[in-house]
Amino acid sequence: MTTTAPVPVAVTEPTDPDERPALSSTPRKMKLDSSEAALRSVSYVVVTVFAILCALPFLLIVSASFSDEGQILAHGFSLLPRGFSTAAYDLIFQSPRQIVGSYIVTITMTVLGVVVGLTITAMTGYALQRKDFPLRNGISFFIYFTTLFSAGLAPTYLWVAQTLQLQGNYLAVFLQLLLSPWLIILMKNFARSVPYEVIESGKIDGAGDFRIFAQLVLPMLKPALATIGLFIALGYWNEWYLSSLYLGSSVEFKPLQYYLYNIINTANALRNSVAGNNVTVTQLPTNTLKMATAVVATGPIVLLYPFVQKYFVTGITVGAVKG
Amino acid sequence: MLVSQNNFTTSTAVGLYQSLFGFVLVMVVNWIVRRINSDYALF
Repeated sequence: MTTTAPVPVAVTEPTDPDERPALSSTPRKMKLDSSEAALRSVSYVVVTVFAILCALPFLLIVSASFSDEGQILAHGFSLLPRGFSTAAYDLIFQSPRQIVGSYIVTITMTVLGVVVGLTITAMTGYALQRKDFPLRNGISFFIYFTTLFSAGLAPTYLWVAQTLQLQGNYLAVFLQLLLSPWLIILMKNFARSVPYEVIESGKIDGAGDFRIFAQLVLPMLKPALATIGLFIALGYWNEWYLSSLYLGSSVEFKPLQYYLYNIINTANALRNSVAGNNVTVTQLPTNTLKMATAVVATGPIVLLYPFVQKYFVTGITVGAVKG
Repeated sequence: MLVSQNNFTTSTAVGLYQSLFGFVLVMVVNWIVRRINSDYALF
């Protein structure tokens, strides 16, 4: 009984990747006619130029973060670092305990948030599209309603900080980013493409609702899970505003983005106060510091993209039902 | 402009108006969509 349930998925999953290389490798063996070759070279050029255009700003940031502050003030930003210096990174990593703690807080929050948030989002989205769920329209409306109406900043703050007593608690940030109505609706639309016959086949084989969900529906929702998981992860990773409201200085380790934001603020305030006192500025690298902050903040999430990206390319397997 | 003036009542009223207008818009569009093809309706 347990082996029969995943069969429809197990049959379709391998055939799809097998077809793709076959399709893409056959034109390579055939002799290309001239129009095909022209089209191909043009598209290669266009894609290459576009890729370079996307990569250049990032290269600029990396090179500027390693540049010398005085050189940047004199000549502006350039694609290759002028006067190599790591002063900005020294400033960021001057208290290693703090930055490692910040990384741990942010990474833990991101991983937990993706796991918990994805589970709840997937379950909600799946349940909301089941035609035999009588309350689906009411609950959909209830979820959608929150995207239009919100209490606003001050009432939300009072509710979280005083009624729920979450001031200075990581939960204040974690819970607010956990679920997004947009992602639930997105998941609902993804889950709609799972044919009801697949669910029915599981039912006939005697699987319960949770087994149907975990072993039949979830594998078919992989592209949706990757997409929505990336959205949730980015939400947690880039979070600094809620931290500034609810965590402030009451936690030992601030989330990464808020910590970096504080470093830039402190450096700017220091430079301004020094400038007012007619004292020579002692090489405080404010410009390169911003760039180094961007590198430290985006580095790990850029490494995440290639692993998730392949799921964006593959569409949802719709051919699960034969005949 | 409204936000920068720290005019709390006005900015709140603007927010509420936006929400109400969006609500009516979504309900009307959803009603139309449901009449044409109920599978594509949001709720």
